[in-house]
Amino acid sequence: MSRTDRSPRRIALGLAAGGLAAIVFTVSLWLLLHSQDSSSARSMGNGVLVGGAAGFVAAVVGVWRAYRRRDSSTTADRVFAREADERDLTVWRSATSAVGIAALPLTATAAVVLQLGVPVAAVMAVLLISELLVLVGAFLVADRRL
Amino acid sequence: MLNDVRALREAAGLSQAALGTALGVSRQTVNSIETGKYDPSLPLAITIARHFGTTVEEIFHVED
Repeated sequence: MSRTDRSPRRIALGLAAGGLAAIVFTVSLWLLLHSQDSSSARSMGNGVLVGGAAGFVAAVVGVWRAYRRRDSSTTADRVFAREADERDLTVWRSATSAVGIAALPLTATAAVVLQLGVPVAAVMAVLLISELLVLVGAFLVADRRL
Repeated sequence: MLNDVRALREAAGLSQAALGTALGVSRQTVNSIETGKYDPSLPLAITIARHFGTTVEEIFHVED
């Protein structure tokens, strides 16, 4: 129910650990993809780096807004900063549930499309982007509805 | 679910942000409760009732 159940130090440690893990994961994935011979793998590595950096910056901005501008922070800010209250968590769970439900027909469609000979990288990219769009759209709808 | 949270808050001279801080939730959540878009959990409803010195049944009313 309340956002104030954890000490500020524990919250800061949690955020720092999460940020560090995200950086290590992104850089490791970039190094792994860049070590491959194919240009498409290296290109994907660059995409991972750009996407990871963009996500990291968005998370930092969200955390800053949640802690420094509490009155004007958004649901997404508070979810990123692990300062979500019960309504924020309800919005987040609604959005992730929508992704879970949408993943079934999306994955089935991807399997069919792969059988038709469409390149795997393209299908996976469209699948990932589609799921992200469902997440963002469902989050916005739930945030407005609740 | 209908409720009297806005009336109680205004009678107490509190802003939505101030009430949110007192309850441990965001201003947005207070607004959603007041407009009936979001029904609080039982623990939060009890916290609201205790904050205003009344009971849950006095504040929240089931729509017929």
